[in-house]
Amino acid sequence: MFSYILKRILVFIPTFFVISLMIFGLSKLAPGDPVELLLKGGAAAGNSGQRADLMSSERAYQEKAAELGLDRPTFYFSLTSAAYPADLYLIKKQNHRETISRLIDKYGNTEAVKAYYDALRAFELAASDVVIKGSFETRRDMRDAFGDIYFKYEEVDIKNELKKMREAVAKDATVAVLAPKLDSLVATYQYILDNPKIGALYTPTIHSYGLKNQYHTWMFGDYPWFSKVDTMPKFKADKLNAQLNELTKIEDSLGIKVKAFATNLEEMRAQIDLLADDEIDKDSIRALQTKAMADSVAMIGALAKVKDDYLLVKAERDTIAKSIVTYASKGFLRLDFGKSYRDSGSVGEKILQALFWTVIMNFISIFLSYIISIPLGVQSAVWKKNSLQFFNFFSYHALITTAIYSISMVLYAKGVIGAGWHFWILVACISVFVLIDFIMQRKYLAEKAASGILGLIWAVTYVLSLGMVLFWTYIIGEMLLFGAAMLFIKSPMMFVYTGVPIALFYAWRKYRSRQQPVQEDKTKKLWDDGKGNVQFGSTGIQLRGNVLDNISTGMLFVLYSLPSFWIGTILLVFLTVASYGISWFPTAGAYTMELHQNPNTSNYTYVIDVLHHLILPVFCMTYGSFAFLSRQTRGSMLGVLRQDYIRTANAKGLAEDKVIWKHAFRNSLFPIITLFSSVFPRALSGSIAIEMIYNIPGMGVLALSSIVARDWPLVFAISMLAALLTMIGNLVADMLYGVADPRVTFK
Amino acid sequence: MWLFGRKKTAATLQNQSAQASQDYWSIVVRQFAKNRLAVWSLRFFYGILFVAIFADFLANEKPLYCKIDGQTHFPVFRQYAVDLGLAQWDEKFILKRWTDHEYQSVWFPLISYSPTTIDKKNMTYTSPTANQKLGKNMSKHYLGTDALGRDVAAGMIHGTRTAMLVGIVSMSIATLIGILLGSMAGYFGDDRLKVSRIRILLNLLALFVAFFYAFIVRGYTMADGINKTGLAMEALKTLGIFAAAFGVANLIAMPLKKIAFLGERVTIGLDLLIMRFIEVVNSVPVLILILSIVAIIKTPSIMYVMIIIGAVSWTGIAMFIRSELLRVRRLEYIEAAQAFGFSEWRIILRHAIPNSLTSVLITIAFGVASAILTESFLSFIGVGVPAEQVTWGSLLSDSRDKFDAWWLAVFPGMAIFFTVTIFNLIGEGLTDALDPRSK
Repeated sequence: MFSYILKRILVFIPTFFVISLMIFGLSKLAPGDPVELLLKGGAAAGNSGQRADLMSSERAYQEKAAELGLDRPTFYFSLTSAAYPADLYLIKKQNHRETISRLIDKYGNTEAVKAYYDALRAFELAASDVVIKGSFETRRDMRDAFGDIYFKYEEVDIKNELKKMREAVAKDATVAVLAPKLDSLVATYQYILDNPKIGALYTPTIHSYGLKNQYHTWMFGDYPWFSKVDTMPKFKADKLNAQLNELTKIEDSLGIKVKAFATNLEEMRAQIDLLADDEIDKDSIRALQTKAMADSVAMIGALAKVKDDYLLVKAERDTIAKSIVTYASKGFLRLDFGKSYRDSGSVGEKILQALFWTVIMNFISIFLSYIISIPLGVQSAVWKKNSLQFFNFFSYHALITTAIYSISMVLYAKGVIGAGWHFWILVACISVFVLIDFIMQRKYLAEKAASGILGLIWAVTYVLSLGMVLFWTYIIGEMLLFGAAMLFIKSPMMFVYTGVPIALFYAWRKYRSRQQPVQEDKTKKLWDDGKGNVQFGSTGIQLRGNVLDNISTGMLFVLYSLPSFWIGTILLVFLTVASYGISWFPTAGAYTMELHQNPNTSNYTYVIDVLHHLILPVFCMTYGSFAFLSRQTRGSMLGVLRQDYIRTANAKGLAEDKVIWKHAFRNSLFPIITLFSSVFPRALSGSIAIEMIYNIPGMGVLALSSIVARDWPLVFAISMLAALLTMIGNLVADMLYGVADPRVTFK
Repeated sequence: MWLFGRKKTAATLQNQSAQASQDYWSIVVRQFAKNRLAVWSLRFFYGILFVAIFADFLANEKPLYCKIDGQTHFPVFRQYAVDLGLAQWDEKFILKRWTDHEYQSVWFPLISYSPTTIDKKNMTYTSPTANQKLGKNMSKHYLGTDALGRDVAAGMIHGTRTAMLVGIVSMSIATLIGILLGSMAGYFGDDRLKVSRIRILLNLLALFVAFFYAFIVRGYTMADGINKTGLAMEALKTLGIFAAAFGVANLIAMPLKKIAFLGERVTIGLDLLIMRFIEVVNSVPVLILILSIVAIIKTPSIMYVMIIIGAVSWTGIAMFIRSELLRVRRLEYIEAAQAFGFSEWRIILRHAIPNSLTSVLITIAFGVASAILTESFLSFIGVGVPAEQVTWGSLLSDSRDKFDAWWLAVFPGMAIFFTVTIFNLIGEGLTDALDPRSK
């Protein structure tokens, strides 16, 4: 088995890399420049067109690109036409690169294009020095032209921009110096037009770039794997930086003091002048003044010293900084998922935060759907198999308890009773319901308990889960009834009105069943027996097996076909807003903000609050998979129940229970296990809509928002995670196949 | 099933089947006809298809027929001619709203609004039960209006067209890819495809060359071309380049094969390759895959959504047909066909695939359902579908802005639910009909 797992993992490795290539390729095809995206938020590029601003914005761009690892070639090699230079990636700005490669694609003459680009940049720098002196219009026109020309590659557009520049230069005498430079720029462009080299465009070339490329950095990281990184320079530099900060602070405070002293001295002098006429001891004041002057001089000296120190430390820092090697990433394989393009936050942290809610919701949802759907599916298959048998259904105790709870829900919604009453009524209803169920099944449970504690646990879970399905089905049905009644009949009489059709229905069924006295006896017998084929309720309505199966299959089919994002919206619209009279659930979010921020909130209150918020989303996530699972269970169970060995087991006189759970169920597990394998990856993407509708900050919303914002490191990490989970799911499924069927071997 | 009881008794059915022909398809059709629910679903599907095709005649701001100033016009029909560039509108029709003309006689469609028509008198969510202010020639807003005063019923009728188009086009693409890859994997398996060395070499070379000339040399040309003339033309050109490269490679291979070393045949594990590919596609959840591909498109269009859904949802069909062909290829009649010396492609296309096609129908039926669901989900979250396009999903998502507008939450969702259910039921019916045990 171990070697089998190893083999599966080995086989998965190439798949993993192909997926990584696929997502990486998508990210490179996507429009938009991540560096621009990030810089928009932080240090906005200076737009005044001065040389210093140009340089600093360029440096900021370069630093950001290096931080994201985007200043390298894309891949290990590139397949291009011979016209493209291998070092195109050295042009830092993505949109400049795009324009250059567009121009090369058009004319094929790389040298000429490069010359044009260099000339353009030189001209921009030259212009930035001069234009500042020009008139407002000149500055504006030139800035617009420079803003546009880097994006233009069509002949008409470039010529148009160049013409605009020429006009701007011609209009303003102060910038006339630029005219000859502009002429030479136009000449370089004209040279491209005149000397196209189309031939080179049709010859393939492969440039190789080695390991220093974006994909490698992303996947494996550029941080050394084995050799220890010398952190000393970085440490020193950090220390020096701290020192510099200190010095700056001292310098600032000294500067302020010196200024204050200077003004003080001024005042003193003025006062002395004022006092001149009076007969006060001028000398003592003068002495004071000289002393203050001396202090001031000393302080200025200290300031100068601090400034010198600052320069010294700065020089030292700069020399050390040169020896520091910065690394973009440790790589995906070392669990460094990189930085988000949106806010430079760590991708790993974001995923962990989002994973919290998704895991909670999916755990509850998966648990519920499995624990409910398996008994229901099996039961449905049994109903179908014994299609001529009558089964007890709609028992009185179930209907009465659920009706009481439904009424309490309505009263709660209307504000007649408080949350406490509402809660205790629920507890009471469920306990009565479960108690009667257990009494009904007492002998069944006792029989199971005799076989050991596991048997008892199993039996209790089984009875409970099937009971809960019925309970909540009734509740939903009755709620629909009462809800509809509430919309149209707005008085307490609605309970009477809605009661009438139910009573009539009951009377009719009773009348029908009286005509068939055989079944009446059978229910009585069931009650006395205290065991049987899991019958619920004392006496009630009896339905034939195939009718029951048809009802449950039909309902499951409808549930399965209901789009969860619709049901999510419907529940949100009708159950959370006061305008329809029923605002039982919070509208959005996973918790109440005030509760979350309030330090006095007890854990208990917080958990209850979260559960209250999660009821609707978990319901929406659960019902679909629950219905699907039940259908699958029923289908495979039916297939098995038709087999000969089941007939043999029945003929041997084995208990029905034993036949179903020991002989049939175990053999029908395969489809359920197959579905289980897709549970993990589906958890990542399956809840996108629900999380979006209910505004829960989980993985689905994170995936969606990062895809929409083209935050590729996140998309990459999430997709790869999903691929990993798929593999784990498949492995787990394989293991479970072996557990379910000893004939499965791992060879 | 239990909703519609079986109308025909067993005896009459027996009678019928005794007379009816016994070939495979008629058996399948007969089995399918026994499932009342599936048959009704099929009938409803025809109904939906009708609505989709004749959406312009059911909900349109233009009249079907009108007489104005003694002239007779058929504006809805004329719109088709205008779209094709064969005709032009009179100036009066462009300047004035269609409802405001002085008609001598006029015949408006059932719903006299297009999905984009803005009814200024009934803006900001007018309920279907509210007192609507209707002008001359305007039909009632049967299902209310949205924030801009657009008719929901008209949006739903035209949304039907989008949904059907997405379902059918994307599944056609998926079926095409799925059948091609699946049948190759299934029929050839890991052992049957033997190709001469020179052919492998030249085909790999051709792949490289075609890739270079189609995507790298024509990269920018293609991107611009798609924006200008549409995707189909560029796709055709690209396909042409690939076809030419492979054609030339195989032509050159023919004479070179005669050299002993080059002509030696090597077995290719096609099944393994294709299954790996399927595994790769299946490893990433479909929704995330679709969303990340949609994200790289600059100008969203429903056409891309269809293609992308088709391009990622073929794996089920491929796996289905592969397992089917793995069984079929061992049957005697395939051996007989091989003994006749038919070419492999002829055997696959004429003999093997037709016999395993019925089972693919099931996957297609369920696939259409999930494609419609995916499209409405995408327009619900507003990704990949243009903002001005009215679909069921976009109508549904409007309801999140205004909870009071229950008609926006209920009706489009019902439409999605209804359509998805119909296709699921047809799939169920097909599953039952094709189950050999049910005969």
